[in-house]
Amino acid sequence: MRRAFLLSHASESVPTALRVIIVGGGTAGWMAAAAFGSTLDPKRFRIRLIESEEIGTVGVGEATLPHIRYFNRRIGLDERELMAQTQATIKLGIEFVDWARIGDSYIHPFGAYGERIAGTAFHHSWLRLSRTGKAGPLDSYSLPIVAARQGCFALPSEDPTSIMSTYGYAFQFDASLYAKYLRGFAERRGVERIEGKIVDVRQRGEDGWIESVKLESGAVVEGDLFIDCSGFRGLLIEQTLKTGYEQWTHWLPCDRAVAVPSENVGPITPYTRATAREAGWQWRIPLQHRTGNGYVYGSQFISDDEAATRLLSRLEGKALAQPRFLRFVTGRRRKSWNKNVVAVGLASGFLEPLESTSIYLIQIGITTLIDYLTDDTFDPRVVDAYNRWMEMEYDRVRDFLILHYHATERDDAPIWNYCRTMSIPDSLAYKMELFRHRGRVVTYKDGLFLEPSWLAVYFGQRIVPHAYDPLADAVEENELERRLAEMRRQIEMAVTQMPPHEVFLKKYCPAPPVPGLTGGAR
Amino acid sequence: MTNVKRVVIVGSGSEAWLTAAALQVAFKHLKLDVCVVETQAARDVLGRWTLPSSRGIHGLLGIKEADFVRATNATFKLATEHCGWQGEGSRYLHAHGEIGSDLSGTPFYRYLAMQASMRGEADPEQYSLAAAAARRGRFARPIAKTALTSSFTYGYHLDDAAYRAYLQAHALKLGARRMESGLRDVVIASDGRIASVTLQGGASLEGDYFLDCSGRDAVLMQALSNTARDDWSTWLPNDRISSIAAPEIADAPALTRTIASDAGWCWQMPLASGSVAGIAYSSAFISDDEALDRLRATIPGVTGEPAMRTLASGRRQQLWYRNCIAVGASGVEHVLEIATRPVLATHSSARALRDHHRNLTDEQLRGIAATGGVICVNFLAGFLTEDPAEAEIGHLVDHIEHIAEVAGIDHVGLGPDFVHEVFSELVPPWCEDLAAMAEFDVRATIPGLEGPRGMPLVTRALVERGMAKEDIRKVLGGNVMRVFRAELGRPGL
Repeated sequence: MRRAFLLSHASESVPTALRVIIVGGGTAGWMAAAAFGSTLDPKRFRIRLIESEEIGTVGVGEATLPHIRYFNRRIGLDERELMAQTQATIKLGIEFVDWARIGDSYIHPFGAYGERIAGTAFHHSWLRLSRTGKAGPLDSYSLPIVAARQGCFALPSEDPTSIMSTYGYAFQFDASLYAKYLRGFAERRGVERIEGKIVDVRQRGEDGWIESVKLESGAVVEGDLFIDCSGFRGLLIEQTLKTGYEQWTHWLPCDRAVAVPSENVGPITPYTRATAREAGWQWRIPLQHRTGNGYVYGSQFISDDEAATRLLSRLEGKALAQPRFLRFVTGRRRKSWNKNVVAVGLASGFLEPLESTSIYLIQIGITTLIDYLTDDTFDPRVVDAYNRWMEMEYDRVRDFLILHYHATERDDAPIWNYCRTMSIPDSLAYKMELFRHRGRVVTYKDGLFLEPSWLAVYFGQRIVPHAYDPLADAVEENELERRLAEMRRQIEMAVTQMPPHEVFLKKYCPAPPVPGLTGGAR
Repeated sequence: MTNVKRVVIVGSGSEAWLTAAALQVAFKHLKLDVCVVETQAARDVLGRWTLPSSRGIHGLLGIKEADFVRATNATFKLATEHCGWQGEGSRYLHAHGEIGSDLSGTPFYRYLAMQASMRGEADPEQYSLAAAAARRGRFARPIAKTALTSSFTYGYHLDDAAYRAYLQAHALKLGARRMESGLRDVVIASDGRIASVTLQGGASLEGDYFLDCSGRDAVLMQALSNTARDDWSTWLPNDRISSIAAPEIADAPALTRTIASDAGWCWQMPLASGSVAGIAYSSAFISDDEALDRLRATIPGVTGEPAMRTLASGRRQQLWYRNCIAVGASGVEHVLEIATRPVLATHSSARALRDHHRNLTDEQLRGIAATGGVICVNFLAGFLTEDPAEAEIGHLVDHIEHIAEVAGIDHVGLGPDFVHEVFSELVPPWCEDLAAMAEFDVRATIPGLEGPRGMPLVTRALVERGMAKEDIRKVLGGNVMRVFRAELGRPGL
């Protein structure tokens, strides 16, 4: 009797569960699997992931934004274990070298500058004092910048009154180790992994929805909802559904990258570096066991060989592998969600990793989808809302990236001459003009980049406001000078008490040694 | 870095004084000269309810809450209760607070949606501290101590006249100046900016910036001809609001109550002593008297004179125009709706009968009627009918009847323009070419109505149409005389 009950219960529950098929097992695929496995009710959703060991992954990311910590917390990942397993280091911001002029350097920090004075943003008071030479560099009022420059880190404080609460942090990690770690996490939560290469996709006759995919082995995997994490090619979203792609190469002309890991040399910096080059820019991402490097470039400005040679000649440590080349087209899929396919990660769009947004965009694609997956219907209103949201997220990042390229004074190479003089989207142009006019930053509630990020890049790219908010005149100059000096003093004191980054790592999340490598954190 | 020294605020409502006080505080260091020039206060709503954001600006202005609450007869507002919006007996609260809290990363409303899909309804109020307190008439300020005690915020119900007086006193204390004399005129400089305003006493007041806080009159924006506006009346058709004093509510809840009726909605809000009730309605659906009847039937015990004002939902397209910024209702207006005094359309006929740009649409006719004004039908044949040559006295009577039907018999009069007899004496022969350039012969008249001698023909035609004697008197001059008697001699803006 009991057995019969169990059987009938099982046979009832299986058909009602929505069959979710994740196609592709890179960063995007396993992030989706981990998030679905840990947050969706297994009685209502059956999650499977198809990947082939033959197909390599791009291993995007490596550097992340502080938002990833919300993702980790939401799905229940242990931060210390994750960091140790992925050779992770701390990231307090991104250093931009040679962007506005050769010789320049600024950090886009994960935290605020100073504090509001007289009802207006800090930078207005700073602008006022700078005019008479009575303020320090803007960087000296940002705790994460000062800490990053000194190579120090401690966990932020929860106490909102403490100066130690004025920053956040992210990770620099090995993306393939991250995917591997998430795979274990997801499989323990009931996600089924199917090994195999997809050779055919079957669509429903009447409306073209995806019914099933066929593997090389001949096996057919049926599904109700397909998550396309197949990378640039977009196996389902593009190759099958022909969704279309909006190209942004006229604003962001880089279309290739060459990547190579190298040995760590010197202390591990708690920040990522992006150095502007003759045909694009070079990244440097320090992990516990090695440093990730890459050159993002425009193929019209430099040859692949030349780019690789330049990259190798500029490494700080010995190269640990042959350079790998990547090709991409910057832009966004016209719809991330089309019929019963949701594209996540590179299948939904590509933006160069200048601001470490790749993993963020994956994360937002997944968490937004979870919020919208109320039941097994594909209501066009829900699909439309999802697509609008993703469009907004991509567009915000796009504008912010264009700002780096466009607001430059460099005229030493064709790429900079092009970007400096190109026309930019209106959505960016008016923001820049408003800042130039009186230092006002356009802020918004949804989408990436808060006021400090815009400030860092505006000032870093040498956009100097003609005037400041007159509210900043409300405080006597002596008093203002005293308050700014006090902020600097507090920041310096706080940083003095922080341990060096490597000491922190060793205590918080030491990674297992990798044979043949001398990691900095051990 | 800034050369703004003189700011002139035009208006006399609470927004004018709030603006004056805010400028004094924010730009104390600039030692601004902030002058308030009062306009004739429009009859306004007796009480107002504010959003929690008013606490922010009060904080900025250094207003002490206890002091302010005492002075304005205020109560605390935690919510608005909407009754009858989904039919008889329905009600829900829009509370100034959170509803539940996220559970394992999922927003709480998702659980409510789940509850609704299972039970057919959900009760968000059960999970809102603000709602529970509002309904029971309990109140404490939010405290940052726990997530629950900081899960809400609040606004106020207050006596608008007292609020205005309080803000005025506060702004004056902060150093704003009140001009003894009201506004007479606005002087526009050659560059199109406002140069100065002239006061009733004759003095001129110059300024760098002018803030238009004159409410629906929007006198500065009108002077600048900045009238482009997004009209939202299609979606928000209510165009009148009446308010009236009401008795104290026993065990008053800390909320504003709205009650949907068959032509708009009634409302009531508690004050520290007494309460204020009102009705917002559309004149297209209900007359003013009927609206007051509805209000009296819905909120028993209301007393005294109701205050009625017209309103037009919409937004001025440019709120900041040259050196003038619209604050408050001056961003919301309509050429008809701005009038707080009756409008006389002295030479206008009905556009519904003759589509000429000088004639008035039905909507405009109703708008003028709403101000208590009169539309005076013009006699020129070209304004009455397409074919002036065929015009007869019946066309004129058609216009009178149409306007009486649309705007009401109290709002129609005569505006003849007896051009044949009067005009020919005034216009020298060399001007005749100009007259010929018009799109029709402006001198074409209805036979018999070339001059004042023809007036009895109009009276006879109205009698023949069966119009009542009293109504004919109103048309022939009674309505216009009513407006003249009531309005002439009253101080202007």
